[in-house]
Amino acid sequence: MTPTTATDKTAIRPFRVNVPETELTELRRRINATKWPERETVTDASQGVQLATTQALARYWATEYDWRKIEAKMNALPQFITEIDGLDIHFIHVRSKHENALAADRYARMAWLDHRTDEGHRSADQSHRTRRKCVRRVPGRGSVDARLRFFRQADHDWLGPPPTLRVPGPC
Amino acid sequence: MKRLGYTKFVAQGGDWGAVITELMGVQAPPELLGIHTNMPNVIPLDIDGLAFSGKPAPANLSADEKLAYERLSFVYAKGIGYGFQMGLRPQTLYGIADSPVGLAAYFLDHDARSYEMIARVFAGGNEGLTRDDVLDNITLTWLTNTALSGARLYWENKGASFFAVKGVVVPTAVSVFPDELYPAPRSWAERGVSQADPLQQGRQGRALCGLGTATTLLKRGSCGLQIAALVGNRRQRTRRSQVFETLAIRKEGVLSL
Repeated sequence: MTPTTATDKTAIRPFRVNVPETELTELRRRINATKWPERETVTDASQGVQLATTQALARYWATEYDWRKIEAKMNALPQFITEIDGLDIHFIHVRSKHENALAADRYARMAWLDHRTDEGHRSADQSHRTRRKCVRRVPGRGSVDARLRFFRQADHDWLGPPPTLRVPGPC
Repeated sequence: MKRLGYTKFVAQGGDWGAVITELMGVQAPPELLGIHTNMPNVIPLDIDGLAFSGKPAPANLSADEKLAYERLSFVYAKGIGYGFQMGLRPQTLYGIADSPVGLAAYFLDHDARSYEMIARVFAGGNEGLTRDDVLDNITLTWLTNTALSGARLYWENKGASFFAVKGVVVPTAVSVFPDELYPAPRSWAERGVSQADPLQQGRQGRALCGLGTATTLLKRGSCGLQIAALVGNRRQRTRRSQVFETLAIRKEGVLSL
């Protein structure tokens, strides 16, 4: 680790996900090495997560699941990392294509989510084409030690068109 | 948001994101025009305390309120064992940091309805939610080794209620989906929100709607946020001095301001 100043830490730095293959191999090894408990003694979930469900999940996880798919989706988004209150926060920042509307309305939207959504990727695809410069590789940064895994911010085109004066009513 | 160059913005959140978003609405920085939540913390303090204690529903509740009370009581009595463990002894959870399957089981045990849906997905069912959606989330936590640091959030919350009213003072939109932990009654959601308009019920919903009903959420959230922001723009000068008794927010539906 290269020492950094406080100013460096609080700078908004580009971020990409790049999990080493050895980590994924180790994950599969651990899934396959699971020491299973005996089956629950009831026929419902009243004792907790059922053995059949957990074993089905483990089978799929160890054999078919492909982390690289979500990694590619994440890396198609403009990701950043910065320090807030002493904690690294990873976030996705998708600027609106409606720059003028945004500026005129001085209006932006923000979301705190603990999971990405397909909508985010869709808008990101659009943003990615026009703002590739925002996405840069940061060697050696493969993980985020953050309690808030995603702090995602997006503008108009993520949630809808610029706010024309709509009459409140059914959405 | 300031660092990113935004002088005005709105916020949306569900689950912990809802708590965070609502607390932003309590702090009410001048830049925050309004919020939208799909886990509205609308439970009156006394009602929340009764449900937590396992008491029967008060006799004076409406049908909607009684349903919400019963669902909330179930959450407290049966549904958030993980929350109590994480709140009291998070560091003891070495098992979920060491075992992928242990971590996955902990993730799946969030609440009864989402568990049932996820169980159907891994049994081959088509729910709109995929096995990859579930495992992306779990794998991300595994690879970043954030199971325990994430669990600590409950400890740091120091027992504060997730669901009781927070006292939000910015324009707020609320979405209510039926499969959330409890369907927030309109009466509780409107308490303290003087301009409350319709609180619409989503046709389908999931406790983890960020996974299951993202499209619905975003459509509703978009509408709600636009309205909240417009209200915020119009009231910019007086908003801070307005007294909203409490604002409640909880699961999903749009409360149009």
